[in-house]
Amino acid sequence: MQETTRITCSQPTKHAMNVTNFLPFDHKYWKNSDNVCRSKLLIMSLKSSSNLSPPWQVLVLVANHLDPKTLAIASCVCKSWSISMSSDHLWQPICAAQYPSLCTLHAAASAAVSYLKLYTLGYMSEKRRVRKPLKPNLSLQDIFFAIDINNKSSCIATTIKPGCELEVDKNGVFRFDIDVKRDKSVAFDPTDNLRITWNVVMKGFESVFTMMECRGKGNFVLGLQGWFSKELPLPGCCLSGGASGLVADLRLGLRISGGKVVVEKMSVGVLSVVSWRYVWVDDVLRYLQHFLLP
Amino acid sequence: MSSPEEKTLILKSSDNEEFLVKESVAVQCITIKNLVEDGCDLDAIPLLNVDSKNLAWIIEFMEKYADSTSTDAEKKDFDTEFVKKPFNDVLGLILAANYLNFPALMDVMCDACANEMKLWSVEQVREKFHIQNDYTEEEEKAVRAENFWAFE
Repeated sequence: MQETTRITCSQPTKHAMNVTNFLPFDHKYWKNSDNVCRSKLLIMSLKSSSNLSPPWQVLVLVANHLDPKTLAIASCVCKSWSISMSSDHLWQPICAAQYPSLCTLHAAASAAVSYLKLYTLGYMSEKRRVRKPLKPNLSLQDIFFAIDINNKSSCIATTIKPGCELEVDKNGVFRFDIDVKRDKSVAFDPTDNLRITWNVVMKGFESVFTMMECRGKGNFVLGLQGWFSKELPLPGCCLSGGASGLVADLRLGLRISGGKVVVEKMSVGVLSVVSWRYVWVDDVLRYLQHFLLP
Repeated sequence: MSSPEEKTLILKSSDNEEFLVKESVAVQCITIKNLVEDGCDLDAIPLLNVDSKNLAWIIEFMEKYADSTSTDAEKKDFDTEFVKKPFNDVLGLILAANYLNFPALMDVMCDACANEMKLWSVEQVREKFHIQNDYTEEEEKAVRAENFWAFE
């Protein structure tokens, strides 16, 4: 309820909100001040809400002190609150403080974009930048590895390893040691040219992705180890052409037999050439999804 | 004629209770300050929108803040205790502080109110402010969807 006061004042006070308590709405003061008109609108929009509540003037006064989340929650209370709590004059300082670069968009289009909308855009933009990827739709149980090593004349080592039998590296990276059965491994000359194929196969033979197909002598380093690597292709869904930054890596563990060598172990993995580290299992599964899942 | 520092004012609440306050303390309320400067010559200043309960609190606050010996830390502690009032009383004080144009008290009380509101859900806000929800189910869903980020 508005009471006209009996205290005489020679001049209305400068504090716009305070004036409402002294001057009736048809006083010429209201028409002269822009700031006052805005707060008047705020007040009028709140007047329609409940009369039994704490006086609505209080909300107008407190609104300036509310943080964005509380203001947004308050908008959901009722229709008149929704109008007043989304007012530009409340959101402009908030937006200017947190997302100053977005404030220039306010006057960008032919119809002004509200500061509340700009704030929401800024908030979502921040969240999406740091969004974590979704869990892969593929798991190690769904795939198996088929690895063949041939020299000019014959197959010198072959192995088929279901994903569920792979021993996951304790650091969670995509790198696995696979023992080669004796009967699947034949002695060969270490100077031979070899052809290596590493396929990842979906169970049920629904699809295949060739991780590596290469020829060469391998880099026989660190004694009895042969090392092969091949760059992996880009999935092609976002970037066309260019490097993926991923490399399929295969190392052979050899044992001497007679004057030749025999493969007794293989280590396979996926390396990032950007960080020179093995890639996380989930990341490789998400990568493989592009090629194995429909 | 007594010097301004010693002058005492009589402030009369809406329920006709009279309070004696030093002028130097009372002029923290800009409304009162303006009245005094404009040469208000009433015996007691009637404050029609402030009842005795609120006026007593306001005077307590004014006296603490006018005291030059109290440190910032002491004021903060005082504020913390001062705002521990029922919510409706907090709102009442905000209105009174606004009527009297007392910025320091306004800030403290509005911040206290805002801090309480921060923890509330939509339903709690409605309850505390006695607001009737005039949204239909679809409308409410829509407005909550628009402000989804506040519910995260």
